[in-house]
Amino acid sequence: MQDFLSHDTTRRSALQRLLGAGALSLPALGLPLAARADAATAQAFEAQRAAHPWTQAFVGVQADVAPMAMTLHGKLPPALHGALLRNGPARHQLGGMRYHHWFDGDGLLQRYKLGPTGITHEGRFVRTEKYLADTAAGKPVISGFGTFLADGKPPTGPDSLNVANTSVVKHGGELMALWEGGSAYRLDEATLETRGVKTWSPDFAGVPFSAHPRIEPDGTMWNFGVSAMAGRLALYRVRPDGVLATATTLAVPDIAMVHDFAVTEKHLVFLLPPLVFDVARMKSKMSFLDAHVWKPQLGLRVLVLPKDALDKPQWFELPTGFVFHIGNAWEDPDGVIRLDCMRAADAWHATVGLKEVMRGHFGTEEFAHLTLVEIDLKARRARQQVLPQASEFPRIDPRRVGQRHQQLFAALRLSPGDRPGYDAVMRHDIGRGHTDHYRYGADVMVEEHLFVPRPGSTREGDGWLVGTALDLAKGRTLFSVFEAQRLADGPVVQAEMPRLMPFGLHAIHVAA
Amino acid sequence: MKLSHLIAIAAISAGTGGTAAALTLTIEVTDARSAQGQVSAAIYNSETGWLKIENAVQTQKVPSAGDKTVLVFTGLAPGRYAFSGYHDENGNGKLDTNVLGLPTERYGFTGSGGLMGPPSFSDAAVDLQADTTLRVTLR
Repeated sequence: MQDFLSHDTTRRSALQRLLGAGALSLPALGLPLAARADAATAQAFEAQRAAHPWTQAFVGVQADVAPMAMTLHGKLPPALHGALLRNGPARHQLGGMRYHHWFDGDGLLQRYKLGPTGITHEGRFVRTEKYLADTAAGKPVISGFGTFLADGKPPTGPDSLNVANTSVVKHGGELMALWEGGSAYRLDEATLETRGVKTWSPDFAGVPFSAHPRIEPDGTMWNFGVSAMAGRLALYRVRPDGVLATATTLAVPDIAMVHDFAVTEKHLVFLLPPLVFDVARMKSKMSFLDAHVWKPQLGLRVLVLPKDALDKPQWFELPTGFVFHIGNAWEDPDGVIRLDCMRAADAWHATVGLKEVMRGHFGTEEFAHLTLVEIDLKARRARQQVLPQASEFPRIDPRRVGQRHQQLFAALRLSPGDRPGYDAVMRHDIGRGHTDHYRYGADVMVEEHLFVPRPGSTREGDGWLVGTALDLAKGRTLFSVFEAQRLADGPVVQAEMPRLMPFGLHAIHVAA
Repeated sequence: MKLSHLIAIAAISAGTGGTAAALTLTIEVTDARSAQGQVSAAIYNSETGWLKIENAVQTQKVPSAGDKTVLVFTGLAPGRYAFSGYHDENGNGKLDTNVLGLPTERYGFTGSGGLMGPPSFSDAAVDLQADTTLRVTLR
């Protein structure tokens, strides 16, 4: 567990165990070595499916998903009319070849249309360069984030691997599918058809634009992008009308895998887990993910950039750990930034766990926990408090982005048993330390839920928590609406449909 | 030069290999994004001169034909040659790059090297001993 190599060893020995159990018969496949791994992954997954209902969430779909009306119980509040749009990796295999990592699947933009007569669900794949090339070939021909294809087409840059599968944003009137390491893909909001990559400026063509932009209450959108090859962090400020105001890059030593960031009134805040890019590994034909090395001795570095001086970084350090998601950050008058995030002890899930699920295996390593961080800019120190809630997909009231907030919503892992994911949703009151939650049940895999404010109200958290979940026992997808301040009461509105969608990532609500 | 060019054409029309003194290397450039602008290319015959345009054996600029643009280099002595080309889509005479230094127009080489950045001359070079046609897929 001390470095990436030991992770890799774990994975290999797991594969050897499988082989020893006779689950696979590699020589019989008669495939070249590079291809064999992918077919073996597909076979390993198939072998586990019957025994583990949770694997349904990772089967994936092969084509656009036709519209289906959901059965609605209750009446949708008119303020929710519009759409919930969710993105996520969804085409996990093609031509019998299965990707090694969950993050490699092509992005499927799902839309739940919310109207007075009910909810209709549909989905459309983002037509990225990679999606089109792979589809034309009938098998993956371009390497993915975590799957290196020795005989694949050489990448031209980050967008070669771009599957636009992580999140979605609507800003300046434009809908975009987002991925961590490449360009945003522009979508037609009416049809969900792909229009092409977003170029913010000629200088920033093809420069990564992460999947976690932060939109401030005034409509200003901030974002970043990590260029591992160049060892630089790109920074973007976009005006409310969608026009780029500022774009710059900053050299970052030991550039790390960074998925999310936070904005405060005066600063941008990055947590850099010690999962560090090593160009030599990339050149030796490893996947992009496997070119990263776990270097716990670096700690978890905290980079704080003044919004008005993006070239003047301040550095802090927290105990070693790995973070995908941040809820929010704000700073008090004494110059202390308070931030909440979901922190794991190491990068096991990113480097191993999310490979294991693609082979139908669930490991029981430690999950991410809600963690409160204080960064004292004057005293120049940072510290953290790890709370007991095993949780992910943190969301806040969007009217509080960068400002003082008290409430955090998230998917919660209470007691789902021997499977990945979450079985409950929670609202955590940061000031009081109180948690309200609703448990769907062990057979329900909870996707990200998001907060939608009640129109006319300004009180933080006054509104609804809206989200989807996968009923593994019944093969249904659920759509739920909660009164955000009364989660324990259960959904006030729920809809269902008799098809189980691939487990997805981030979502937005777009009002009608 | 003119004579060798004629010999090369004769060789092509005869469907035979070229003469020892004057071979033709035909490059079919595919996967341009559009039929805008031109395909700008050069061939080189040494590692030391590789990718330095002043050291190119020959250079060419041909209007992009979109799906397949054909560049014909003639009058070449037998030996090792490597091709480097790009699609100058906006016709500004250079391979545009972004702030990170990554090309934003498509480019390609002979050979299969260059997983991360340009290949070496030896990875890109082909041994030319007869008239030869090669395909270069832009990326």
